[in-house]
Amino acid sequence: MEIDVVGRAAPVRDVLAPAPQPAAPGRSRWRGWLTGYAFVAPAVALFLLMGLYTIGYGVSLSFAEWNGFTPTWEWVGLDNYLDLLYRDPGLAPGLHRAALNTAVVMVVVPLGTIVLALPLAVLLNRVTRLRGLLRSVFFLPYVTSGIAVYYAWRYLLEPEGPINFLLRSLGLGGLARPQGFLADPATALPTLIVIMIWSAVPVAMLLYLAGLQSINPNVVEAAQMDGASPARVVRHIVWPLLRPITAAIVLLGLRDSMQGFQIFLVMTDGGPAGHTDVLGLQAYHLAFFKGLSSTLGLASALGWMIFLAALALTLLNARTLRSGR
Amino acid sequence: MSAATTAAPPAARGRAPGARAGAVRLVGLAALALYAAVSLYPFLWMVSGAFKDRFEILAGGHLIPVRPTLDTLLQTWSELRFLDYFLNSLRVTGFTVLGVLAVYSLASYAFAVLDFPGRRALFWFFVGLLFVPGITVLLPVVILENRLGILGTHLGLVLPFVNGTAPLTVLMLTNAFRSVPRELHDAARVDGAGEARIFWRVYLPLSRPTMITVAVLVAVPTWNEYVLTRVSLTEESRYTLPLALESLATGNVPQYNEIMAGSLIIVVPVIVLFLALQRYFVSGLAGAVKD
Amino acid sequence: MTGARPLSSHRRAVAAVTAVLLALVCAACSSGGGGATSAGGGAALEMWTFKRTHLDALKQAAREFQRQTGVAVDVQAVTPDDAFTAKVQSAAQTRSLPDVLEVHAGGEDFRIGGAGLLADLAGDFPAAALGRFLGDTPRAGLVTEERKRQVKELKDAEMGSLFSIPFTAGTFGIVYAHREKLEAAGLDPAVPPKTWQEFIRYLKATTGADPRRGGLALGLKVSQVGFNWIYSQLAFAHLGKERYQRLFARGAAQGFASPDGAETLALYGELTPYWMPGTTALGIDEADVAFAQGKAAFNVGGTFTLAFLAQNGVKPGDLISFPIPPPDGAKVADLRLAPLALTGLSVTSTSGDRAAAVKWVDFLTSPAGAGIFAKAALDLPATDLGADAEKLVGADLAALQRYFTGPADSTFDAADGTFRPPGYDEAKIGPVLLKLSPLRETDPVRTGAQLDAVLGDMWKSTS
Repeated sequence: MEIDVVGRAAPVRDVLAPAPQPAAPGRSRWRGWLTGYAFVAPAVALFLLMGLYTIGYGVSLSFAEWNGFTPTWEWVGLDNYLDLLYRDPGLAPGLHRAALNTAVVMVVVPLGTIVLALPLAVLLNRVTRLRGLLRSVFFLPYVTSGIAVYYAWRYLLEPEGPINFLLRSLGLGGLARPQGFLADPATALPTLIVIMIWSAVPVAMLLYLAGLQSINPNVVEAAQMDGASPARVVRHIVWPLLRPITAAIVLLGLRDSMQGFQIFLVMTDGGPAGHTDVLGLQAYHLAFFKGLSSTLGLASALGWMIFLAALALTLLNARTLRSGR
Repeated sequence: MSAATTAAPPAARGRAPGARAGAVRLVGLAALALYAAVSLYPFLWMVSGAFKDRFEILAGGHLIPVRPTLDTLLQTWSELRFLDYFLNSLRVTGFTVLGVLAVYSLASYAFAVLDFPGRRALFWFFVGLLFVPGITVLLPVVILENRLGILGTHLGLVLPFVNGTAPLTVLMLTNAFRSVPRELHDAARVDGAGEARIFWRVYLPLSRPTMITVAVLVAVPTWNEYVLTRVSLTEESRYTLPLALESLATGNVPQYNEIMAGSLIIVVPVIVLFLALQRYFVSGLAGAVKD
Repeated sequence: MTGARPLSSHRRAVAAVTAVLLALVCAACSSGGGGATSAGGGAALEMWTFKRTHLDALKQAAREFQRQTGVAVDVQAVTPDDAFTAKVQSAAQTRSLPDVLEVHAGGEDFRIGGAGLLADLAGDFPAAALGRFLGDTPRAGLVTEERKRQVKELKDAEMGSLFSIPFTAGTFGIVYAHREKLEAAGLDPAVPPKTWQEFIRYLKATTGADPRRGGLALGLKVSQVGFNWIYSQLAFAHLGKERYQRLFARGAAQGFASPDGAETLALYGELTPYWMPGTTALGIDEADVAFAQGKAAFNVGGTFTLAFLAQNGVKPGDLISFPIPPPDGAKVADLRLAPLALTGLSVTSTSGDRAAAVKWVDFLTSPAGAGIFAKAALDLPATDLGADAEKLVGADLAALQRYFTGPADSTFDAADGTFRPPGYDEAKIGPVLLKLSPLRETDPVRTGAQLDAVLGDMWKSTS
């Protein structure tokens, strides 16, 4: 399943740039090709089995109206897309609101992740003694992320939960939420965003740390001896190395915020009163929580719109970060 | 590993000497310690809750249990059949990781090292799948698997999980194989080794940190996967841990101490796995970053 | 980095990995075939229910059924609701539905039945056989002119088809309270509140005595329960049947923004200070559990809630229960709540043994079968148990049945949706009311206008 099963690392770069093999003549070239196909065969076979049918099915369903039971689909063309976007007054407003929440998540989560992860990586890079231990501790939120830790958070965030308790005992009772953090419309979405950042920081921090460590100290030293200001060192030596990492973090953050909804499903289910509704969750509700009414096509259409938006944003992201070179 | 032994970079050296540097250092350490506390916080309460009995958990408030008890954990583990669920999870995650490594290391080798028409297109095709939202294929997967007769089985989870990890895995492994010096490949060819042999003897051993990184990056979300699992598994004896936790939390008389015990059972194996593989994992990630 | 390792160790590693992989793959295959095989050979019927709390009771009934008829029934619970949906949909595609389904009555049965996947049971359960059920419940699965208008999946269905037989029945809008907490607040548990204003006074007293654990619990994460379980009954009582129904009418003149609407919404808003903290973050079951654990003094649910509370360790004797009380000067001063079919039993058209499946449904809804079920599940069957009710489901649950019967004009019937727009979606109504109370984001008048807008859209989108 695509949902959250893929990890969150690996910067994109043009791994295929040069053609790897010198052209061999005749028979051996054919043999080489065959070997290549043999190596990709299992992956392609698996895709043909699990991917092709499901994607094809999903795409065609997005142009139909169906409740999962009738023997035939009713083809409706682009109706599902248009209804979702603006036409159906019963659907569009809810969707706009979810899109807005998704947009907030999409901007704040990657940004927050970077704002926390980069300084942490810099600090960690300077510490020598406890680095291993700290790195392990910092990594806990990633390895534990999932339904188990969401339940722990729910407990922490309850009206009589430890976080309110902590705030009150620190004399910060004014910050405590008597309704709990998830039931309170003012804090529900921000709280979920904080938790998403909390689970995204570890990988980002580790990537930055690896990037910082790959900076050649001699180059930095030489630059400093030449009288380069710290700002120049950062701009010309450090940042070029960190930029691809940042791009990867932003990319994966975008993807997670657009498609991931596990945390919303487990923690709030979109509540209170839609304050934490996001697009992925809406699609899930349309698909499975409508008392078997014919909204499967709508769910699928929404999913593909998310796909297109994610793709567009990624290309844009790649372009801006490249042109910043 | 280089990551652990590299000395502090010179940026830290040769700055304002004496007291000010000390203060800066202290603030830095304090910030690190604070974030360590933030990272640990929910986890500490999870442990604390798991060691409380059902009366104490309702009282709330304090972190350290007044009357710590092992009963909650033992009960959750044995009576609530978490051992079975644990084994189910282990099976699903194990198969998925093995499948991912087997299928996509082969494909990535082809993308990185071999040459054949359509190589580039196929590569970008697999990477592009990254953006296919799971929700759009969720129902088709369920329908397809019902047709194939594997709905609700562990195989029915493993296949889509493996397929779903294609994009990032292919990206990372292709990257890793590309960074193996080409001369090694050519030399092996001259010695008469076939591609399969070169793949197995040269590329796989040299890419071990990346393979392990991929394994961890696949294992963690698979271990926690909840959505496809939830709509496809219906037989309780096949439940994985997240589903067992969900049914514990929404079933009769759910108490937070039991939920925390169940959660603890879920997260501890992943933590152990990570700590054991951390060395490779960090250098694998570092390898993915280096140009 | 590891360089080249000695050859022999490699070969061994290859062999080991291959062996492990093979073993694992075989294990995976062997687990693949299992599926949903029926117990007891080919003659067994298969049944799915979406309610886990019904599973054991159904299995008990199945044992008795097998003893009497020799037909085995393999009952499976498919939960949660989204998993049930997915499984039924995929099974419908591959024609592998079970013989019998327990479904939400008056909704799912029409959608599955409308696609031709359910057997029409009208011939098997003639009017005489339907006499065994409470009130109007047997009509829950019946295709009528009205229903065809409301549910578009029914457009090809034949009039008078019966797609489900009622199985469990009950009603919403029952308030439960802890005796102990009432006493602690100086209230007399023997005298439950008779009016809405008194109810509010009670709430004020209990939250005064215990601000954190003296409120009202309700699983508002499922936002529509506020509307369906409290507001509707309250508004019905206050306005009377006719004016209540007019709130939903097409065109806004008599809608929720009218004085009638604003008045009743304001009454509902009086609850605002007294909700249990954090109740909007809890599901229905979670809120019930919180109440059972003493985190609230009051809890609103249905007749089915009592069994759940009992399973969670509450002694029914420690509770009092009463229906949502009508406000002072209400049109309907003695509110009655009609029992509605909550779940129904359907036989699929793909069933291999229709006769046996019908027999099983007949048995489950017979006084004997329903009795076994009721006793084990502590849930009210739609079958009228008559004098046996108290013996089977206990005095407390049986006592709730006294709110079921009364004159039509003072009986609130949640199953009656004739006055609402076709395609009525309660999940869109819920959040609007939630914003009024407990979220306090808006006032009664604006809430009324928003409800009118939402309903207006529903009228529009199907016209």
